[in-house]
Amino acid sequence: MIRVEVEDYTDWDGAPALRMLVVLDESVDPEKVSGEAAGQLKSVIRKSLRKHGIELFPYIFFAKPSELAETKEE
Amino acid sequence: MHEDLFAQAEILAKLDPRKPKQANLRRAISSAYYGIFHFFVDEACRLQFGTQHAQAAYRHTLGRAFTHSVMKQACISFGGGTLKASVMKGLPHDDSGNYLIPEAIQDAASTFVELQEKRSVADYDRTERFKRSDVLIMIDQAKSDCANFAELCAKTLVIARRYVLTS
Repeated sequence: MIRVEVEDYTDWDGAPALRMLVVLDESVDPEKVSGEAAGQLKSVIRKSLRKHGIELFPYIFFAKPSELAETKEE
Repeated sequence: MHEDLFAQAEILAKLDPRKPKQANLRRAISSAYYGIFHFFVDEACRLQFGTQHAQAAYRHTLGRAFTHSVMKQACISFGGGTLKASVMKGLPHDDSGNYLIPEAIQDAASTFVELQEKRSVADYDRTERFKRSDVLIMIDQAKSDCANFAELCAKTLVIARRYVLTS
C-alpha cells in the first residue's frame, strides 16, 4: 500500500459518504490479494472512522499506479 | 446461485489480460453484487420456509419481495456494529448498553452496501473508470464474507436469523 486518498462523496441514494482510494504497490498481484485481508483493512478503516465520530460510510476502492495513469491518459 | 454469480464475475474480470474492457469489469461488479444479494435472500428464505426441495416454490416467491434499498438500510445499521436503541430494546447487551454484532455480519453487511453502490455506478455512470485490481479484490471479498457468514449461521443460528429477518 502506497497511500490512501479520501474525498467527500454522495452515494447513489444521495446520502453523504466518503470515497477512499487505497493505492497499491505496482508489484502487488491483485489476484493474490485475499478478500479476507482486504475486508480486514476496510473493517479497520470503518472502525477508526467511527471511533473518531465520523459516521459517513466509506466506499473504498483499490488501484495500482499504472491503472490510475491509464485513467488519466483516457 | 450465488456461487455461480461469483464465478461469472471472476471470469469477466479476468478477460482481456492486457487492458480490461470497461464493459466486462462493469458486468463483473454487477454479478458480484447479485451474488451477495441472492446469498442473503436465500439465507433469509431458507430460515423462513426450511431448506427442503418441496418448499422451493415458497422460498422463491418470498425472495421476490426483497428490495435493494431496504436491504441497504439494514446493512448500514448492522455494518455499523450495533443496533438502534428502538431495535435493541429488550435484547441482551454489554456493559456499555450496546448489542454487539458479530464481525462476520458486520463485514458481510458492509460489503453488501459497498457492492450495491459500485453496481449502481457500474450500470449507470459512464464517467467512472473501473480498475481490475478493485474488481478482483471486491469479488474475493464478497466470496469470503458469504463463507464467513454461512459459517456463523451454522455456529450461532439465533443472531444470524435476527439479521436476515431484519434485512
